Amino acid sequence: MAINARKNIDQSSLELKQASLGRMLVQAKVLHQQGNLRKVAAPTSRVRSKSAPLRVQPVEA
Amino acid sequence: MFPGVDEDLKGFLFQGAPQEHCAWVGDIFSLTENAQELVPVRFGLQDFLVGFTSPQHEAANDPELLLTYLAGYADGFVPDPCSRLVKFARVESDQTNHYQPDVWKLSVPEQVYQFSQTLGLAVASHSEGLPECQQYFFWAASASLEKLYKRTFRYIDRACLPGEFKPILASTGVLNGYQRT
Repeated sequence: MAINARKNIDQSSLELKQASLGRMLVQAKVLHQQGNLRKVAAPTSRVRSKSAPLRVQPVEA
Repeated sequence: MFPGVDEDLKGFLFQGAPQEHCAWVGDIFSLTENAQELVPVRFGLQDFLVGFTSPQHEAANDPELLLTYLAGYADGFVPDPCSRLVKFARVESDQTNHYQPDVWKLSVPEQVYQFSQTLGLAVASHSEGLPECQQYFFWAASASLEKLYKRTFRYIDRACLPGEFKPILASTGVLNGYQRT
């Protein structure tokens, strides 16, 4: 059934996902305008540095 | 620009991002308490937003709609209430081109591996910031996006976080899930 859903899902899922992301970002905009867009207080990160240089550069033609 | 985003919001979310070419993951922003968060990502000079939504919130807090989604897309699997559906969007995309991959290719295609790692850092950062979130799902709209997401989660499992990050859904053909242990 799910496999069949995948065959049929692409267009409808795109619309669903886009609508969902759109609602999310409208919510972000409203919160920001109200001054209520808050950061989650995260613990000290064990994840690597959050900014890194790009390692691979364009291949010259 | 993606619907809902304007220059003011974009400036706020990306205020800490380097201005030069980089792979950068920003802070976690809460949109709905315990249900929805946003993480900004800059890769090269392209900006992305990674969204995290609980299943209940995704189904508009309608239990029947959630069950319908789960029956149709996850073979009835019931996710943890604290789990998150992961999506990302290019900030500069709009409704006419958001799902046209040809329009928003990475500026340097050879950097796709590092791009998937950067997405992985965004998910890992979310998992650290909200440790109650132990399950993550994605719903890829194309085979190439599915490949990208799988690569991303393999990277998280292998390199990002203590413990394991393993697939929990057999291939349903629609939804993919990962559990942190």
